[in-house]
Amino acid sequence: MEKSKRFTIPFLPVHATTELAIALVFVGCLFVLGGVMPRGLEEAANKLVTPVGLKPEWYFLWAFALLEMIPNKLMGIIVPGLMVGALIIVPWLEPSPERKLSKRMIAVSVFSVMMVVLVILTYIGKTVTFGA
Amino acid sequence: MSWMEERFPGIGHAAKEIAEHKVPSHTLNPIYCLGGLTLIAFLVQVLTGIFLAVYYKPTVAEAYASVQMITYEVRFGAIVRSLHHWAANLMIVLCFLHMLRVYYTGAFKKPRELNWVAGCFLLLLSMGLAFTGYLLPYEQLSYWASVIGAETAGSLPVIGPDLKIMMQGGIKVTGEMLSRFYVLHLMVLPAITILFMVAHFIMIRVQGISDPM
Repeated sequence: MEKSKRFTIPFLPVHATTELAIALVFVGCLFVLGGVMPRGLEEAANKLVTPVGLKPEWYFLWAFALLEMIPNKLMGIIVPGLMVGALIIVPWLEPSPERKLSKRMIAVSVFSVMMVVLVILTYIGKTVTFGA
Repeated sequence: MSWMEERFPGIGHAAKEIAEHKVPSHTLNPIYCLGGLTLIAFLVQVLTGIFLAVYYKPTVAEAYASVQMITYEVRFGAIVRSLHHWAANLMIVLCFLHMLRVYYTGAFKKPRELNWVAGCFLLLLSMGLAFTGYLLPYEQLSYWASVIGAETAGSLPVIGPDLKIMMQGGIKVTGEMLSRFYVLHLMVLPAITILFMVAHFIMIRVQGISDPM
């Protein structure tokens, strides 16, 4: 299965300590982010007032944009659902065992275009104000 | 070690195996750390989450006030809440970047297809955790985001209407919605996430780390 084990490092101590160092730097970054940009508290929920221009958190903006742009509400849910489904079955959509990028140009192109579409949809969801 | 060996036969061998396990050196590249960092972000979420759960009160009347107390009165409350917020966002970012790395290096290919599937579910679970956690402070935006989330789920075919009632705790939005999201966020989703993580790591061990390109 594996062609070679040419260069290996032992899990202990080399690999584990390297990973630990990177993990500590990451946690340090979290403290810096939390200190510089703390999570404040917005106004309390008011069931009588619907906020205008309501947007979901950034990781749902792509689906939100599709939901708002597709006129048929059912299709607006099915399309993002199909995109998630396609992501899950990627190994079967691209079954060739070839791993080199240059030998899987078509699949890599399709995947890359989908990722660009995801970014564009997120941008649309973030900037465009939907609804009448 | 022999004391342990007598009680758990074979444990010395297992420990030796873990310590001396050979790791391919190409994994010392930063892009190979993204998955591990996603795990670290999750661990930060568990620790800060336990801290927040100590002070948080999951009722409509007290939720906002308890988050206010965590932010302005509890010692270290503000920084722990900020850590929880940032680690949540970065967990999704890192998980997604890890997925891109796995895709472009072709690491999901035979025999690792099922580990790709497990990873996809972990990404969805991270988003589910973020969605349910977003309601808990009971802020204006977080409340209405959940209302719209339930509304969207309601327009799904077949299961939609029942799913919406389950999320809202009734035909209309009720205070039960907060309890339900709370239980999902603190118990159900973390438990499922941990199961998928264990499966993910066992598969990495069994299938091995993919060769360099």
